[in-house]
Amino acid sequence: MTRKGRVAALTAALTLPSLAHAEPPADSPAAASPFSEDAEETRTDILHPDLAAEAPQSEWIREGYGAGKGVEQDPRALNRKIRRAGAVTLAGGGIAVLGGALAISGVILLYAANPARRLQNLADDNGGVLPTDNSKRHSAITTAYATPIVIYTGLGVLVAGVITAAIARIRLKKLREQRRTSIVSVSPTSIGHGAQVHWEMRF
Amino acid sequence: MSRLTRIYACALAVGGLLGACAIDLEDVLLGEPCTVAKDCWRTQECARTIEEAQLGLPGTCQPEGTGCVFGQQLGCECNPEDPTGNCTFPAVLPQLQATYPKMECNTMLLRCGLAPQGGGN
Repeated sequence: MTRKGRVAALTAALTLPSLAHAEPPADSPAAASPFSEDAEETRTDILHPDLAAEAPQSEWIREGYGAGKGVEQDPRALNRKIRRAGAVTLAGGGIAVLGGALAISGVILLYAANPARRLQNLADDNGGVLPTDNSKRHSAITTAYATPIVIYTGLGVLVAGVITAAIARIRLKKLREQRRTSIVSVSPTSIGHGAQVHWEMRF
Repeated sequence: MSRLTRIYACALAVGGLLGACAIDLEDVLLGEPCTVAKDCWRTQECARTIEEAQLGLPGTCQPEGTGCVFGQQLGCECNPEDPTGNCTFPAVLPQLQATYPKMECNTMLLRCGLAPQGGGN
């Protein structure tokens, strides 16, 4: 018998008695679940349960004593919000530009089709007085009515666009700041005589 | 304040100023002859009496609520004692005064009527 064979035979001889006296596992619930309340009651390593209950429970300490915070918001949802805020900002800017263009068009109309000058020219052509029930006279008066409406409408659209863009821009900046501070978390920590950097990034 | 906000604020101020300078043709059209309401500004009315319309004379653009110019329009009330309201001066532009018929204040009716041919002012 080789040396390996002798070691195997000796091991079998030593373990056989314990295997022969081994009992099947108990069917009790406490045995089935070591974390159940019954199991806690039946623990034998606690000599004084009443004192053990009063013992202070230390707080959870991260491995390496890092202070990284958990994700409070889904980063994808945050990205969606950022994209939407960006789109609203652009839309608001576009509306503001359109409103400004409309207001400027009204001003151009005011100076190009100057109704007062047109009426003066019409009066000059008619012996110094305006002709009655005349289409050119009516046209000049209608232009004078319409021009301020165009200007004020343009200004209204401009204001609405500016307000929309400003609010969306503030929201966008806030969301970007939120993403900057929540998605990447870096926390330097000192351990004994050394140090570590806890780097946490979520996608 | 960001640059964009400053641009918007300037545009708004300029637009507001320009809008405030909106056209008002009230002074331009005041006293001008008219036959329909559209001939006048929105704050005016075409003051034209029935007598003027019957004679084919135009009215004048006057502030709303005027009805007719006291003592200066044919068929309108007058006061023979009032130098500005005794139908001597018609409420038309100087260019049209030559074509406007002569009037006199009817002391019985106290209304401007046509002056008798060959008499009056």
